[in-house]
Amino acid sequence: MTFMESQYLFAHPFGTLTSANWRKYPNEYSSHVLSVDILSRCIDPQTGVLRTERLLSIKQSAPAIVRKLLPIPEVSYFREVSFLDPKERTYKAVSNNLSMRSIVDVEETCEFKADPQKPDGGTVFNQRAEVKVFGALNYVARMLEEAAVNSFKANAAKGRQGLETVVDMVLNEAKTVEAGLKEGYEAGIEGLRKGTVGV
Amino acid sequence: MTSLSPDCNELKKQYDDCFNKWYANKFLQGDTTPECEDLFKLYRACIWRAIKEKNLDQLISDARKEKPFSGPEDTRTGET
Repeated sequence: MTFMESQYLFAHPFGTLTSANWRKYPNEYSSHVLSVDILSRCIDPQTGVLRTERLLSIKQSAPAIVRKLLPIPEVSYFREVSFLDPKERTYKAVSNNLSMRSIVDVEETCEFKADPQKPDGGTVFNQRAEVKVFGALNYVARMLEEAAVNSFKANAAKGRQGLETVVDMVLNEAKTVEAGLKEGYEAGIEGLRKGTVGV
Repeated sequence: MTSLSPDCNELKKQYDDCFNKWYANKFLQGDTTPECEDLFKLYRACIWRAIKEKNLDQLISDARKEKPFSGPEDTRTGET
């Protein structure tokens, strides 16, 4: 079993980041993600926690040597289950591969937590990926696991960049709405003054 | 983001737009009253049709049995 773990601090509040996370795909850094669908979604009546189950399809980018050794399909599917607690401001998502389960077990865990040091801004992001390759000689298994984990490492930075671009989009949208509201409000005040807008 | 099946793209977009607005404006502010149920029902029916067509339903069913993730406590590393 091989794994990678990383921690990163986003300079955005939990609400903004999780909003962007739901809208993360497509983005220019994540062309390998082909589709995202919601399989189920519900809110726990007692805790208020939002549970979401998603299906993702990913374009396979295994290195050539790996494709020579294993029958890897062009598209692989992942199932992700996440729990979002709006009161505690925590989010945890675990994804597992649905395809090729007899060959490999991949589990990725992503967590967002409002930064305890900065209650009004900043979110801690933890990411962990575990890869287990089955039924192969030890040396080959290790090599394949390394290749998979390296792929994760390369994608982790892209994933964060992708999320940042979506955060920018979300913030710009909010600014446009605010500007539009402000314009409308000022036009309304002008209208009231001139008597063109009646109360 | 496109759906697994192009037939579901429009329904998915309508549901996603509704959810994203609700999430930012209601859910995060403490109002958990669901708002997008009708749109979700339509979209969900479409996607599950596509899942059966692509023979993914058995894989999903197996995954749900192996790792049900019924609550946040089930997501601790190393537990199945």
